[in-house]
Amino acid sequence: MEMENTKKDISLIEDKALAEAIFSKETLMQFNENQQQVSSAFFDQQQASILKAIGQQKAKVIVFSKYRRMAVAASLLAIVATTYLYIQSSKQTTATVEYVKIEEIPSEEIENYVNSNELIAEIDWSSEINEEADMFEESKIDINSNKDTNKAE
Amino acid sequence: MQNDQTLVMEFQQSTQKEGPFTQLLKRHQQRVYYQIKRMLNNHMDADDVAQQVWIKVWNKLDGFKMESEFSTWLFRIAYNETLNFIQKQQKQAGFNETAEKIDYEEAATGSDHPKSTQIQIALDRAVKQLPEKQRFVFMLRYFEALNYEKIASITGTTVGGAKANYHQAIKKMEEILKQD
Repeated sequence: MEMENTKKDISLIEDKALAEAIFSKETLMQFNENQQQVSSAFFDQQQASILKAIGQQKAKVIVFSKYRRMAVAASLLAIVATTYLYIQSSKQTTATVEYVKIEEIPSEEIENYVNSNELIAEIDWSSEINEEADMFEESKIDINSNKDTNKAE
Repeated sequence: MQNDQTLVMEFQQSTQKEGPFTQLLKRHQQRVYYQIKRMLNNHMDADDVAQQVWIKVWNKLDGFKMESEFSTWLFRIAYNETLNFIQKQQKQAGFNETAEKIDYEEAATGSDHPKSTQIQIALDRAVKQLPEKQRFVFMLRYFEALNYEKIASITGTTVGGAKANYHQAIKKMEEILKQD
């Protein structure tokens, strides 16, 4: 294990030496130092920004899931209400059919119904008969008048 | 002091995730930022990308199966985020040689680099002209002193591929320096 590490170290030193042969070690170190120049408070500020962004992201997720839960609850409620109303309306239809049993209707009501309908029927029939009679009378007059004109000719 | 693995397990099992996450953040924050800064050579961009990396770590850490070390996984996220950022930037601006040249000068003489000499400007320029993967491998090997197994795992290549990337980077920088 130790030998392997030493081998790796040598390999790293060799690799570094290749770069340092082109640009000096100092130049490469200077490059690195330049990249690392930040204000002393930078990493604290960055840390605060990251945690703030994560907090905002979490809040968004919570708000979204809250709305989502409400939407799901509303949809479920709508489904339950629709089903309940549908069942109720179908029950009412069946109930109407059940209640219209002729045995249960009082005979007085039946008589009233028949009488009133007979009256309507009578009124209808008499008006029809009167109309027909009028028409018949008119046609009769026409025939008589035609006969008179033919005689005159 | 808890090691990374214990902190990751604590994060995954606990509902109070901020504690172990903050410890992991404090432990690796600087190395992640420096690696990204060496790649992008711009403080603001490096800060943005580093923050994105840590937000991604927060979101994905529950699914981390610990098949590799936490730091390897972390640097892989940093590598992907950095490449995504570079690609987006190239798409937005369009790859312009003149703009790149101005950028080198600004980078070398700007406030971030107060003591730039000719050779340092040349190094900045050479580093920036390297393909992203070679640049990332070079930084990890030379400045982070990572072994090739780890570098290969971070960049999604083989050990041989990682070694080749390092040596190609050296060769290319040498060529660029000769051209100057």
